[in-house]
Amino acid sequence: MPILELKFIVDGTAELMMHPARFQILQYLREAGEPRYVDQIAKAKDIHPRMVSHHLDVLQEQGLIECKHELQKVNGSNREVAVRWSWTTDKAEKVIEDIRESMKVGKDER
Amino acid sequence: MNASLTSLRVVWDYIYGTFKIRRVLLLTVALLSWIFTVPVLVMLPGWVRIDLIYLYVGLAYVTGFFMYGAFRHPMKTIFASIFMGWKYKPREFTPEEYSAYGVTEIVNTMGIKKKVRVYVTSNPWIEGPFTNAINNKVYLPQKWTNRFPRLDMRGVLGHEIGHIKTKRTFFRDLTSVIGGIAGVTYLLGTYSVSIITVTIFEFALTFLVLTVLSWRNELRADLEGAKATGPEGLISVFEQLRAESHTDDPSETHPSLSDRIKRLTVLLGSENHRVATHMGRM
Repeated sequence: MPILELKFIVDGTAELMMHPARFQILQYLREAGEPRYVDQIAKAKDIHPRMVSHHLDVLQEQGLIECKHELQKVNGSNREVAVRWSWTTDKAEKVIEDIRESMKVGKDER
Repeated sequence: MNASLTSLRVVWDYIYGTFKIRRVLLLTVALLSWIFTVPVLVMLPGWVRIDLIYLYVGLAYVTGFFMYGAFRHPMKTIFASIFMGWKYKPREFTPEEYSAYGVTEIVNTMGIKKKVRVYVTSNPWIEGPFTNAINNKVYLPQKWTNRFPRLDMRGVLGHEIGHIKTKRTFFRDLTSVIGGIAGVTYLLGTYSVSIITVTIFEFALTFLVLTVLSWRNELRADLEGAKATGPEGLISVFEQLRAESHTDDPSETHPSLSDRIKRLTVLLGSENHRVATHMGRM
């Protein structure tokens, strides 16, 4: 497939995932297959929780993940805190598919 | 953060923290031109000085060569904006873009009274964002607005507008330093016999001092930007640039990306900046 037909490569969405931390976070959410909250992602990927929140904001703005806030007791705490659950969307899968395809095109061209 | 912005700390980082042969050579040129050649000139008969002129020209050439290497990127941006500006006329942000990037909020948070205008340029010679602090205009390359998400670019805008906020401090430092160097040069000119020695000394010293001032100015703008928008956007952009370029080499005008990331990461723990960040996103 010609690279210009790969929608998410052309519109720049794929480039957002070129950021190492964003790519790691998205991969982690995909592999988890279920919603994860900020502290879980931060611990798993060794990224500062505020940076995780920032990257989630970026990914959410691009429609690559969806988020939901819930009050919940975490880490054995007695009081409930607001937790942000995040999970990947179908669009994220399509973007990753486009990236894979573009890498194949790049390899063939070489 | 403030403590780490003190002159001595930045000078220390500059010379020892990020070792570069260029800096060592420049320091050597500056010191040699003063320590050795002035007394020698006083002692030697007049005809020897002609030979020494060749040495001075050689030293000046070496210094100039390193200066070109050090300042070629900012010089490229300055020349591109002056000479290619007519061809690639920058367009001003639309009201929607001003609102989406929260420019007014950043300006208000920093307490800047004058209007700040933001322009996007498609000039291919301009590689990074820059600010004309005199007329309060910020220029963003189109390739940056295309490739970095809005939330990251808010951090970049915070940094650039930070230059406008800190311009008085920068110009004050600059004036004091240039005044100081001019004074030293006058004294050297008065008590030594060779204007070329003095010129080389002045050249090398100005280069070193301006670099330290520029680093301080960049770190100060990082801090002001982080206070207004939160440090996340700027950290994110720096991390991506570092990953893409596979290098972390500091330039004469900017400290290394790792150093800046490290300093900004300290701010992630501050609650005040968390509030500022969320206010910025409202």
